[in-house]
Amino acid sequence: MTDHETTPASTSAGGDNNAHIAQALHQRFSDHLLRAEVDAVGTLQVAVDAGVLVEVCRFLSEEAQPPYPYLSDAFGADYEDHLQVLYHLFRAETGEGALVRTDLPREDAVLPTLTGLYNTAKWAEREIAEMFGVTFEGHPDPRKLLLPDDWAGYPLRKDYQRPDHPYLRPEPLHENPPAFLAGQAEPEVTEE
Amino acid sequence: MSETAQAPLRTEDITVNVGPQHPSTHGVLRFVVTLEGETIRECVPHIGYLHSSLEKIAETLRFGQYITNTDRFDYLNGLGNELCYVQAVERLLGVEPPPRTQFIRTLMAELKRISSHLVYLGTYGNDTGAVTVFLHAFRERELLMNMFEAVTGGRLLYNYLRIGGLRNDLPTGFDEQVCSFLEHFPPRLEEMNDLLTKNRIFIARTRGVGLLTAEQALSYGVTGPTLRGCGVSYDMRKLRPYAAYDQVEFDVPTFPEGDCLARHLVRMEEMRQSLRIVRQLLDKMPDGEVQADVPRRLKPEPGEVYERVESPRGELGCYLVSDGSDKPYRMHWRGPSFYNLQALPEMVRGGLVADFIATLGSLDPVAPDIDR
Repeated sequence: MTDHETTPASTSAGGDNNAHIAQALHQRFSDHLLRAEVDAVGTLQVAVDAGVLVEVCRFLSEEAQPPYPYLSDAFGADYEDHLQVLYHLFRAETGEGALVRTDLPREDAVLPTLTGLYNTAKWAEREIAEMFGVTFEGHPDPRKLLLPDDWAGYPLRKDYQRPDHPYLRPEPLHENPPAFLAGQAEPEVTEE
Repeated sequence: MSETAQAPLRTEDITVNVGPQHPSTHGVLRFVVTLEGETIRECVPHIGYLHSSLEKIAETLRFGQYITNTDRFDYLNGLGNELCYVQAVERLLGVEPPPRTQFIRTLMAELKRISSHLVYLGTYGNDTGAVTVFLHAFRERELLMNMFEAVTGGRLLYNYLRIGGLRNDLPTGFDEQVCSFLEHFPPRLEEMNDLLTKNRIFIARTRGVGLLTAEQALSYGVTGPTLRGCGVSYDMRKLRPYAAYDQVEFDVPTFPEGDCLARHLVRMEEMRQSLRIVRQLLDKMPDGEVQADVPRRLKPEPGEVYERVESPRGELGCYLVSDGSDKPYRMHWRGPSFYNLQALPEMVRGGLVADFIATLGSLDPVAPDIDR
């Protein structure tokens, strides 16, 4: 058991290896770098200004020793006062990852595209664009991906109001509950 | 007459719509394929038909309530998805499940992998014109379904894993059930292997078809058997062992050809390796509790995790953000089929239209896993 739980520590060797990359990032992008450190499971956590996103990713993919050459996943998050976009880079040999994130304003959310560096970003950025309302400048194919072409609004934003549609209206039972359900509160979950 | 014969032949591209309802798409998937004669010039996937907003739903459910949703996107790997989710929540909470739990989780995930690969085997036989294998594969899969039913009560949707543990321990007689499967299945697997993999028509339809280089695959974020069929030994179970994978010995099969046959061979070998893992897990299975002490209402400290496990289709990722309440603030799934499918146009471009279905099937896509 203990063996198993300490396995992430086996990446702590890798973590030591990656600490110098965090340092190199600090030297190179000092003013624009908000955070660069290796976390408990060996993932390099990087937070940058949107302006240097492409340069930081290019540095991690090409110049860092050893590099994180590939993008496995990209996704967004809405923190109500700002949006965040995260990129998960990885090494194929060891599976080690780097999570690069950048904050951007909710209004006029614009990021440079990473499709020039990673093919993975093609679909990932289209999904973020339609779900969070982020514009990726220079994306070769900025259509909607999962949503219908005429969909209005950005569903994964916290303030999203779903459109009124007969299929999406609440069940009649919820609106006019029968007498035996009316007035019943949701059962409380007790703490133990 | 002579004028017509001398006029240059007028050619025209043909646009063919594959799907959204097509037996080989394993769900609702649509492709617009542009053909020049029989050669594919371009292929544009249209996805999203099965989008079920699992990420938004997570923001409305308590941590424990969400487990039932994880079975539903990659429905061939229900227990594997649950494993990814509960590991993510456990990392947020700092909870450590008991050793027996880890072994049972790994055991179920590997049985699920065999069952998923059997579905692949059957349907891929179907896609390439060998319908018999489908019946053989699904007959064997039925034995696995019976085991899942004995343990969890469900055949496809389980809701079995719990945060910090399991809903219940293995039932009495489960060991014998698995042992008899371990005895019965390997010869049947070899039989199916003889039936399909050694069939010259099958080989002719898959060898050299749907080529993908390792560099292309990695640049598109392709993972799983598709990547290992390009010769890259990338497997989360080996690289970053989770659950009880560090307690067992197994190999990560790779084939360097990067064609449909290589992907097929990877999956066949993975089933053999999974049997090896199951056997070792049964031998080493520790006794004890299956549920750690966790509070009834889970409120992880504010923070985030990005958890990765190996699903039968590739790297399954779960990004989870907690704001200190009892519901996830944000959750994101990395569906392996989503990124694997993205590389499909690269694989079919320049190939024959007859090979399109063979290439699509070799990715083993699950449509709800693409759309989530």
